[in-house]
Formats: sequence, C-alpha cells, structure tokens
Amino acid sequence: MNPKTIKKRIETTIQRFASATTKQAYDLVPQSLTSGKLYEAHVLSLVIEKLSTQEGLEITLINSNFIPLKSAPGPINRSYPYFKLARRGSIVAELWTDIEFLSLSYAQQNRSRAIQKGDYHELDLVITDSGVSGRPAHSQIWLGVECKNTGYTKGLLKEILGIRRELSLLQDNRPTRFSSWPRTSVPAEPPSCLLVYSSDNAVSNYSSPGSVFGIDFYHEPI
Amino acid sequence: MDDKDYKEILQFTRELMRNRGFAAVDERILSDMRGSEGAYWDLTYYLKHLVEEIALGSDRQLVNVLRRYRENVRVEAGGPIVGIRVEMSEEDRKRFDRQYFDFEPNHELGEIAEDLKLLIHELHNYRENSKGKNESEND
Repeated sequence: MNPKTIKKRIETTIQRFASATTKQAYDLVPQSLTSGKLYEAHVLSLVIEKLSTQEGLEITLINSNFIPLKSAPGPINRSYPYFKLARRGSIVAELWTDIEFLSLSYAQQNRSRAIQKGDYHELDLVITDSGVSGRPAHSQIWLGVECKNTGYTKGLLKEILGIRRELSLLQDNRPTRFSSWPRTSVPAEPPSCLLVYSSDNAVSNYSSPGSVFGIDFYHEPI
Repeated sequence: MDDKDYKEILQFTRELMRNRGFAAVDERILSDMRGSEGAYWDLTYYLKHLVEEIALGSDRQLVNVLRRYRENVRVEAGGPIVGIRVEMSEEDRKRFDRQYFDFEPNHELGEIAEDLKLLIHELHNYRENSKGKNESEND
C-alpha cells in the first residue's frame, strides 16, 4: 500500500460516484437539496415508525402513492399528498411535510394586519389538527420536527430556540396530545412537541437548553 | 506512509471532489469535522463521511426507508408506496424545468460505498501493522 495506489483507488471511486449520480433522474438538482431531502425522507420514516409502533396511530397516505416532500416550504394545500393519523379508527390529526406555521407572536397581535414574512416559520415535518388549510396556527400544531443533514452549530440551536418561542410559552409541564411517543408532557403552552434530528453527533453538545424548553435532540446518522 | 502522505492524499481527494462537482459535499464533510488527532484521523474521517454521503442514495438506504413506510403506512388509493417524490416550488420549477423528482434506489452507489469502506479498512490494517513493526524494531 502506497500513496500512489490509494490516490488511484480514490480517483476511481469519485469518478464512479460522479457517473452514478449523473445517471440519476435528478442529476441537475443541486446535491445539497437532494441529500437534505433524502435525510428528511429517512427521518420521516423513523417518525412514522414510532407513531405507528409506539404511539399506536394508524397512518394512511392520502392523494398519492409517493411519500411527499417539497423543495421549499409553504402553506398546507389540501390537494397535496399528506398522512392521516387515526386512533382506533377515528381521525385525530394529520402529518404534513415542509410546512409554514403562523407564529405565536402573530396570534398575540390579534391577527388584525396582513401577514408578513416574519409572521410565519417553517418546519420540515408537522403534525396538526385535522382539516387545516393554509398556514396552521401555532396552537394547531401537535408536533414539529427539524431535520439537519449538516454540521450542527450554535446558529442552528438559536434557530430552534426561536421556533420553540414562536410555538409556545414556557410553562409548567402540560400533557401533550400523545400517549407515549414522542412525549406525554412538555413545559410549554400550547403543549406542542418539538424534535431535532441531526446527522452530526455534535448535536448532543447543544441539547441542554432543550431540557428546559421542551426540545428533544436526536443524533440520527444516515 | 507518514503524516505528510496522509495529508497529501486528503488534499488530493478534496481537490477531486471539488473538480467533479461535489464541492457542497466536501464543504459539508469539512464543516462537520471538529478537532483533529492528526493527518491519518483527518483522512479517515473524511473518507468515512464520504461513504455515508455516497450510501445515502444507495439501494440499501432507500430500501430500508421504503420498507419502514410500507410496514407502517396504508395508501388510501390502494397498492404499495412506490417511492419518494420531491415536489418543486414555483421558483424551482422554473429553475430546473421540472415539476418534481423521485428518489429511486441506486445499486451502483451501494457498491461504490462498499469499495470505499474496504479501502478505509485496508488503511486501518496497514497503519496497525506499521505500528507493530515500529514497536518491534524499537524493542
């Protein structure tokens, strides 16, 4: 084994990688977008598995045979695919991907003015009350999930603390809408759950504020 | 091989990645890298994370993800879940001239990731053997 042979093998590997990705149907889409969405699909599959096996929800995909993701977030469009969540046959909530929600601060202002960009924020995965259209209010959200396939940084911690602030006020523990997973209580009102999945194990270095504000951080490698 | 060689191999790999259109992947791996235990550690860290990036679109990864969906989700219209579809926003539709893209398992990516894993394994064995030789020579 010498540097020359190693370089040759690495060169061949990267050439094959380039060739394999060029053959894919989405080769013109930036890799940062495709790898971020693949990670989101991975996390969504884990969340769905937990909701099914631990929380006991019955999950039905509506409007499609494809798992739905979006290249950019937006309001809920009911003609798009989504997941219905039922308990013992009764629909209790819906799971949507890449959704903007209306903030707590917007609600505090009596919603008397036109919505501005600062009045809504995005979440990668959202469980809401069923039947919501447009941007759900913060009070209609049961669970929000952020998926980060990137190095976890202080900036991302600040971002999620901001999301927590715009979802709920800090309170003594309140029961969530879940009986087991992801949490049965949270120190927030409205009592929404907020999860962060990161492919970077450094996420654990940033998780301590989550124990106060009710944010659960998961290191989930690819 | 010494630290200078490992450093040079890493430099070579990063240049290749950037030249082949994987600058974003290179940056992502580098931004995840914290601290260092030397040139060998840097190189193997980079290669291990490259394996993960390659494997992301592979057969194994996507099959596992789809299996989880199929086991836990019923499709209202009937039939199985056939894949993962990313719907483009208005801006992205204009930019990329497509309504959506689908993720399909790529068998070749799985093979490439396995080959790179083997190289990392061989590098590890080489280093361990070299250490053993140096120790016995010093004895």
